[in-house]
Order: sequence, then structure tokens, then C-alpha cells
Amino acid sequence: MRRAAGLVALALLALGASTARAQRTELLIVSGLGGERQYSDAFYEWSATLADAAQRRHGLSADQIIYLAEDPSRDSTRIKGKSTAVEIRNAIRAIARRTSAGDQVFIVLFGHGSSNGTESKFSMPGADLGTKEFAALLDSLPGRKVAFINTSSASGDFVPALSAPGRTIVTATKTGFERNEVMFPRFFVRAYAGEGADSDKDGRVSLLEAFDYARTEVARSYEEANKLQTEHALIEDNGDKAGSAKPELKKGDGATAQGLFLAPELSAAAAAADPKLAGLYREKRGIEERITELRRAKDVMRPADYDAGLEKLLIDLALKSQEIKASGGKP
Amino acid sequence: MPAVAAPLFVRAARLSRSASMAFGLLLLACEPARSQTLQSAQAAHESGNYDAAITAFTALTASDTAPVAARRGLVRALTAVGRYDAAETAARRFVTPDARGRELANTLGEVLAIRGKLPEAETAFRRAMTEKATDSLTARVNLAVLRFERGERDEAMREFDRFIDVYNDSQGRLTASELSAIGLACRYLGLENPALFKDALKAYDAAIDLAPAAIEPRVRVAELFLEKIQSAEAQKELDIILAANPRHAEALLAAARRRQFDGEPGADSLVRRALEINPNLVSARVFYSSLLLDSESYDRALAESRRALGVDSTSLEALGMIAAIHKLHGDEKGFDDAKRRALARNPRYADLFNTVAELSARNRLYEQAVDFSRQATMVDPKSWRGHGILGMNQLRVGAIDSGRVSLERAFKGDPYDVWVKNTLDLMDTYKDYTLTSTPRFTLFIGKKESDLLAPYLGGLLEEAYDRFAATYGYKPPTPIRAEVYRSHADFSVRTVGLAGLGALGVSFGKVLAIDSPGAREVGEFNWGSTVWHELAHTFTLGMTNHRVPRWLSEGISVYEERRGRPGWGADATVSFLSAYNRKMLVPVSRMNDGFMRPAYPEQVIHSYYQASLVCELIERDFGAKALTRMLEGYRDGLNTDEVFRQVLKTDLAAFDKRFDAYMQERFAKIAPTIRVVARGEPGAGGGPIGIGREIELPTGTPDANDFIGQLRMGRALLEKGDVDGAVVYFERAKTLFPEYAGNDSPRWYLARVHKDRGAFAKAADELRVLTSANENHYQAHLDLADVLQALGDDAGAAAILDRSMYISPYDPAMHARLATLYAKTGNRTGALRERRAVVALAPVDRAEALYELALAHHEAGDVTGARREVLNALEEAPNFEKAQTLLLALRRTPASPTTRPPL
Repeated sequence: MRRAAGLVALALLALGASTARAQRTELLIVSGLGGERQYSDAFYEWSATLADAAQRRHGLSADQIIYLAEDPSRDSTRIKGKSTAVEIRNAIRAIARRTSAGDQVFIVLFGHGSSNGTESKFSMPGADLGTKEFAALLDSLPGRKVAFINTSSASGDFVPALSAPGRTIVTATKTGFERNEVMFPRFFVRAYAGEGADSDKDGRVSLLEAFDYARTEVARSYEEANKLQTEHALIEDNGDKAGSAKPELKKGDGATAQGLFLAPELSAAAAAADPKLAGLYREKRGIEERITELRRAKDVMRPADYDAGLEKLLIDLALKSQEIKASGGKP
Repeated sequence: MPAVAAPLFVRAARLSRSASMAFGLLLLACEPARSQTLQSAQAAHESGNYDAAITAFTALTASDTAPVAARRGLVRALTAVGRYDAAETAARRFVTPDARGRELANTLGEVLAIRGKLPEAETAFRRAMTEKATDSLTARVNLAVLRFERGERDEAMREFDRFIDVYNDSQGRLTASELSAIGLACRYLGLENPALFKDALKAYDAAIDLAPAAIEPRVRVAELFLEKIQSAEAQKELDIILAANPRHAEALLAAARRRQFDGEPGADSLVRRALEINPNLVSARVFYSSLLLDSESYDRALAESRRALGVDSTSLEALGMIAAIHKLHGDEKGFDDAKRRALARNPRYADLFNTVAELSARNRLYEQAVDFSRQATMVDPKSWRGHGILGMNQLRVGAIDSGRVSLERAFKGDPYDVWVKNTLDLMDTYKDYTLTSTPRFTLFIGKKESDLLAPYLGGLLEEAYDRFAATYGYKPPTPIRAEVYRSHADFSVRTVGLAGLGALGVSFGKVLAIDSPGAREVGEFNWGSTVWHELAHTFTLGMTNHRVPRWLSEGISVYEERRGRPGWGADATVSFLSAYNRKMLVPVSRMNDGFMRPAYPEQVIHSYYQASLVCELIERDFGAKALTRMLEGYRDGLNTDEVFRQVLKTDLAAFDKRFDAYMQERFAKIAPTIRVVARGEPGAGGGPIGIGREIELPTGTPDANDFIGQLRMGRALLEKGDVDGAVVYFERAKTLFPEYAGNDSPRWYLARVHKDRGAFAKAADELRVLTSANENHYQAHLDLADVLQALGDDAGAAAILDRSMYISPYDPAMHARLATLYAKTGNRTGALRERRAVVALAPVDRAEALYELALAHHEAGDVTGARREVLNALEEAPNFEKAQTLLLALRRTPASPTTRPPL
């Protein structure tokens, strides 16, 4: 018993230490070559919307966002440079300097993709960057929690090429052969800029939630239009080089992406300043863990027992949240 | 046929060399001329120039030394045009007791068999066999067929089986005729061993390879494909045959069957053409009889079949058709007599019952079809066709499990029956469907959309049931099964066993099936009006013991659609009025032909609307209960003529005139403004279907009384940005044809202009009229909801959004919007249904959807439901603050369905 108590204390100490230094998040948005006006406009709109949402809805500051585009003169306020290979390398170097192990780096590409069967590339002004170049660039961010999101057509080959522990790779297609125009980026941006993606209602949108939102809406769009779906997005975050179209937390991908947010965790920041709140948050977390355990056991429990247990825990959690709110915290 | 003729010529040449020099010289002088004449006679026959062929063959057969080929040719040419007496006389003349006579014995037997002189035919076939005529193999198969048809099935099968050995031992020395005989034997063997159907094809193909110009093997191939329900393959063969011989009666008959099978118009004209060429072709006569039966022309159908029986008094197919006609007409004595005669000839003739079963099903008598096909399987347990018909009809009456068993049995016996295979394949997907129930209906819907559709479908069906029961004073037995198919191909297979059916829904009486709203593009159809229509059939079928004629059943169903909801049901279209102007619509007295034997592709669509106008007129002139009394008349066994005379106290001719006057009265002003419209032109979009291509683009100012010209000019100006100019033309077009409600209605354009200008009341007026006649214009429904909401009419907006759900129910945002409107207007039940629909659409933000559903329960005073759903929401998202607040509020309130706790 004592030894166990000691372990708990150490764990809490570690938690306190980790919350003492706020995790930094960097967002790099790359808008590629449009080719035609309609595509240039679409890439710009998605990029600008995501950049704005990152600031206004998810609390990133302007200096945490680098937006590179094919035509920087289009929006000098938001766009920091031209989306060439050189500028992308420079941006990632800068991010590497500003961040350290444990920090989050989001890299989001909007544009056209291509694949010749052996290598896939992202189309941009000047020389295109392919899977090998991007793999090398990501290697320059050791220890960071990297989220690499390639929303272009024919992007599926980026999954096996970039997959590695600590990285989450999202692509709009499952292979390099899905070359048609994609809907995925529109819904991926909407996940961060609009309502509806925060499915667990914790006030933040995880990368997993954004992915699930986008893939679901893509499927719905094709179904409503009575068309065959020509794009199948993937997510990969366990380093096994195999992406999942429908991630399941119990097995395979999703667990890492579930913890990647543009927005910081407000409760942790508040708890750092108030020991009473810290205690309430701990109690709340305990209830949450018991709910998680109960849900895991659902399949082997009698439904009535499960329902009763769940209702009690949910009421406890609601009351605890009220208590936190009454104490000035954010539930 | 060339393959037969060539060796005979060789033999003749050899003979000539062994004869005396003088005779030889004579032959040398004469033979080329005779040979040329024989070839030209055969060519005339094969190209369908039968009169020339008969003349040439007659000349060739005048001498005692006439070649066998010429003699056979004459008999067959006479047979091809139905001159059976002359054919028999000629054949008898050629069948002399000497050795030469044996060569015509089989040919004589074939003519005798066609006439039903079966014992004599058998004698002739036996002679050809025993004396080893060159066509003895054909005689052998003909004899086996005779035995099969008189019920000596096992013996016949043993005989057919020997043909396999003949083929295998032939070492490629068989003639085309012999290969055809083997093909026929395999066709029969295929009844017990389906793999032999392939061998039949193989034999026919080999015959065609040997004699590419020969027509008979191709006809058999086409028939075989039709038998196996592969109409496209059949048509390929028929195209080849009819290109070579457009007057081949059997090929024309097969082409007619193919058209009827594929639901294409023209079957009747093709079979009539076949009968013009060969008026005594029994199969054609019987088929024509079946077409007349489809049009419920019992007397003419019976006359045709009796005429067939006059040619061959033993014809099983004619007796089967006569039995069916009597049965469908309620003449039990006539039925029993025909049945007795058929079974006397062949006690195992299952197709007698199969014919009655199939025709019963075609006349919507599905229970009767089940009874008769079951009898077929009892008479001949190897009647795979019988098991198939039984299974299909068991499904139609809702006996799903036993239907499957029957179909499995049919498939085991004949895996080439595409109907059966398709249906079984479909049934394999039934695990992905779910059953839900309402008080009087069982709903069978795909699991993915059952939660979404079932509340609408169940509610609508229950409402329609009450409405129809009150109108017609009749309540069909329940539960009624309603099936919804997400794939149109699946719906089509469920309905007719094949993909490609153009219909949207079907009623078998106890079972309805419709396309799911997701089976077609948004705006293609209204699934609410479709199911309303189909349930109306269930009433008219049930009330009349399935005796209601198709036209009246369809007319009432469309009429009821119009009474069901504003906008539902067919309305006057440009296409309809064009047909009316051209006098292309059928008179009421022949209304069934408009459905069953359409004269032009759009006539079926036109007939639906026309039949509904007939119903309107009947109610207007003969009272609200007139339609009910008519249905009762059919129930009591009256035919259409009797129903009009006894119920409406008028005759059909007089009613035709009355209807003409009604049409004139109704469309006198509008019809002259309709000029012919081409496909793709204004008026061809949406509901209307344009006909003809005569119209040309107007130049200059369009005629002020030309509806299409005015509409087209308005659109052109609108596209150019001249909105004010466009409005003038749209207003004029609207005045000319106020009822026009196609997707390109002038009202639609006017509404958009008004809406853009902020004139919401004017926009609402136009859209209200448009949506009260166009049930499919999704955007018009949404726009009307927008402008009504802008005008503060939340109830009106809710009503129109509710109707839009029967066009497309798949947008969660529309359900949420309607839920909010219902909540605002106090419709708690409606709000609950809409919130459930949002959850059923599996939104990404499921927790929010469940929370809103919980709130809707809460608003409706259902604490238990609210608690259940809020817990579901929190299970998804435990920290969902709004849901936590609701949960804590509910915790303070005891569960009671009528208490609404404060929040």
C-alpha cells in the first residue's frame, strides 16, 4: 500500500512538472501550385481559413504560424513566403529552432499531388518535393510530436514513406493512384474552422476528430451525389507504415492523433496556478478514467449494470465539473 | 439447307457417271440448270420469298426424278407460310413406298405433328428411322419429342440421352441438320441436367459453323437464350436471322417475345406480322392471345387460342392458354375442360399450370399464381420453371422463407434461370436489412437507413391506410410488408427478377416495394408519393380480389397521390399536351392499351395522368362513391363494359365522348399554346418529356401565344442579365400555361428574381404554386421554406420542409432546421422525429445530435427518453457541458412521461 501511494505521488509530481512548461505548438501551412485559377483560389481559401481558425478558435499566436503560398503578394498579412522547396526547408529549420522535444509541429499541405508509381510528389512553384525530401525534412524534427497532413490528390504514398514513431501522417487518398480532385481538404479545414468536429465535447478538436470529421463528410458527399467515392483518406500514427481509413483506438492507429491539438489544454494551465483546482482536476480525471474503464468493459457487462454504473459516474463527473466551475476553473 | 443439299448433289453426279452415255449426256445437259433452279429456290426460301420458292420447288418436283432436296423444300416452304394442307398433300405424294419415299417420311411426320396428327406422325418418323433415311437422326429426335409431350418422359429422356453418344462417336462427320437434332435433344436433357443446355448451344453453334447461312439453328439458339432469360443474346441471333430473312415467322415471334420480355413496345405488331406470314403458326397465335389477355381482352384472347387449337387440336400450349383465359375470366367449367384435355394428352404437363400461374401473376393474381405453380411442381417435381414461379410469387405474397426454399430448389435444378439466380443473390443481402413494425405494417429497410426512413415511412403508410379505408370502405388484411431498396437494381430484381425496370415502386397487394430515396438522384422522384401510390394499389387490388383493370388501379393511385399532399401526383406536362394536340392519347375504352401496349415510348407515362383524369371526371359527374362502386363491380366479376353500364349507367362509347369533352373543357385554353417540344429544350426538363424534334429555335420575337417560345426567350434574356426583360416573358408564359410545373417553370425563374430582389411575398406566391404541382423540385421547396421563414411564417416553412423530406431526407442540417421550426411552433412530436433523423444520419458530432434529441424529449415532457438520450450523449462525450447540465436537471425530476422538469 505504501509503495503504491509513493508511486502515485511520484506520478503526480511528474504531472506537475510536465504542466509547468507549456507545450509549444507550431503550424506550417503550405499552399502549392494551383495551375488554374479555381484551384489557386481554393488552396488559398483553405489555407487562410485554417490559419485564421488556428488563431481565433484554437489560440495560436501569429508567430506560431507560417503560411507559404505560390503567390505571397495575394495576402501579405498572412502569407510569410513563397511555397518553394527552399522556403519550406527554411521554415522547418526555423520551427526546429523554436521547438524542442515534446512540442507539437503541424505541417499541412494544400495542393495537387502526383505519383509515378514509385514516388509521389507535392506540386509547388519550382521543383516539387517528394516523399524522400519530406522524410528528410521531418527527420530534422527529432522528439517533436509531428503531424504531417497532405491533403493533395495522389497523396497516399506519403503514409509508408513518412511513417515513424512519434509522427502522425494524414493523407487525402489511400494510394498514389487516387488522382482525382479531392474533397478532403475542404472538410479537414472545416473541422477546425467550424462546428461539429469536437465529438467528445472537450472544447478542443483533436487531429483524430478532424480526420474523422473530414472522412465522414467526404463519404457523405459522395453518397449524396450518388457517385463512386474516388478518394479514401488515411491516418497513420503508430509507426507501422500502414494507414487506417477508419481508425479504431483499441487496435492500430488513432491513439496518438487523439492527443494532438492546436489548442492548448486550459485545465492544465489553470491547475498550475491553483492547488485547490489541481485537486479537483485530479478527482475529475479519476472519474474520467473510471468511465473509460467502464466503457471498455461494456461488452462483457449486463446492460442494466453498465447503464447504472455509467449514469452514476456521469453524474459524478457533471457535479465535479460544476465544482470546478464554481472554483473559477474551466471544466 | 446447303449442308444437306451438297452431299446429295455429289451423289447425283456419281450416279450420272455410272449411267449410259446417252442418259449421261442428257443429265449433263439438264443437271446444271436444275441445280441452279434448286439453289435459287432454296435461296428464295431462306430470304423469305416464299411464294417464289413454292413456285420454283413446285416446278422442280413435277418429275418423278425430282431431287429429295426440292421435295423437302416444297413441303417446308408451304409450311413456312402456314399452308399446312398443301404441305401435307405434297409430302404424302412424295412418300412413296419405294426407297426414295423414305427420304420424305420425316418431313411428312413434321407436317403431321404440326397439325396434331400424332399417331400418323409417329408412323412417319419410325419409317424414316427404320429405313435409315438420310434424316433419320432428325426423325429420331422428333419421335422422342412426341413421346415427351405425351408424358412418356422417362422413355423420351433415354432416347434424348442416346444423342450424346451419337455426337461423341461422330468424329465430326455430322451434318448441320444432324447437329441441330442433337441440339434439340440436349435442350430436353437440360431439363434434368442443366449443364446440357450448354451442350445444346454447342451443337447449334457447330451447325451454324457448318452452314453459316442456315437459319433454323439460329432460331433455336435465339429460343434457347429466351428460355434462359438472356434477351440480349437472343436479340443478337434474331438480328442476324431477320437481316437474312425478314419474313421468318418463328424469328418474328421470338423477337416479339423478346420485346415483351424486356418491356419494350412493339411485341404485338411483330407477332401480328408473324401471323400475316404464317396465319397457322400455333405458337404465335397463342402468344398473341397472351398479349390480348394482358389488355384484358378476354374474348379476343380466347378466339386467338381457339384458332390455334383449330390448327392443332392437341396443342398443349393452346390448351394451356385457353385454360388460363377461362381461369382469369372466372369460367371454371371452361378451365376444367381445357385442363382435362391437356392432361389427357400429357398427364405430366406441368406447363399447363405454369402458364396459368404466369398469366395470373401478370394479371396481379399472385395468390392464384402460387396455387397453380405449386400444382405444376406436384404434377412434375422436376418442373424447375414451376418451382421458380412458385418462389417468385411466394415472395410477392410475403411468404419470404418458403419463397426462398422454392427458389433454391429451382436454382438447384436450373442454375441458368437468371430471374431465380438474381433473386437468390438479392436475398443473400437481406442480412443487411432490418424489420420494424407499425400497427399495420412491417417495414423492411436496409440497416444503414432504417432508423432514418422508418419513422417517415411508417407514419405515412398508417396515415394513407386510414385515408383509403375511409374513402373506399375497405380495410386490407394486415400486416402489409413494405420493402425499401437502396439500390434500384435490387428493387428491380425484387420486382421482376431482372435489373432495368423503369418503375419506382410496386404493389403486390400484401407486399409493397419501392426505391429508397437514395436509389436515385435527388429530384428524380418523390418517395412519399410513390409509397402512397403503391398502397392505393393494395386497396384497389384487395377490394376487387385483384380483378381491377390496370388502368383504373393506376388512375386511382395517381388520383389519390394528388389528394395525399399538395404537389404529389402527375400533372399536365408539355409532353402530355403535345400528345393530346396530336390525338395520340388512347380513348378510355382502350385505356389498358396505353399501359400494356403503348404505341409510343411516353404513352405509359401519359396514361398514368390520363387515367387519373378519368377518375377525376367520374367523381365529378357520378359522385364521390362512384369509384368505390366501380371497384365493387369488378369485385363481383363484372368486366369494364358491364361496370360502366351497370354502375355509371353509361356505355364506353358514350363515356369516351364525355371524356373528350372534359379534356376539351380542361385544356381548351392551354393546349393551343403548346407547340411540339424537342428533347433538351425548355419543357423537356423536369416532369415533362418532350416528343418530336420538329421545333426550331425561334428567331425574333416569339409568338405571344407560344408558351415554349415565351419561356425560352425569358431564359435567354435572364442568362444575358436582362432581368426586367426576362420577367415580361416569364409572366406571359405563366399566363399561357398557369399549371405548368416542370423544373423549368416560369414560376421558378420569377421566384428567383423576386427572392433576389427581397420581394419574399411574391417569391413565396410563385413557389407555393410551383411546389403545389411539382413534387420533385427540391430547391424550390427549400427556397419556399427560406422565404416563408423570412416572412415569419414558421409553420408554413415547417410544412414545406416536411414535404421536402420525401424528395431527399439525407441532409442532417435540414432535419435540424425542421426540428427547430417544429419546436418553435409547438409540434413536439415532429421535433422528436426530426431529432431522431439527425441521429440516424450518423453525424460526426453524434453527441450534439443526441443532446438535441434529449432536449426534444424533454420539451415533449418525456423525462425517461430525455434521460436515456442525454446519457447516450454523455457516453460519447463525458465532458459535454450542456449535456451535463441537462442530466443534473433531469436527476432532480422523477421519471414521468408527462412531467417536464425545469432546466
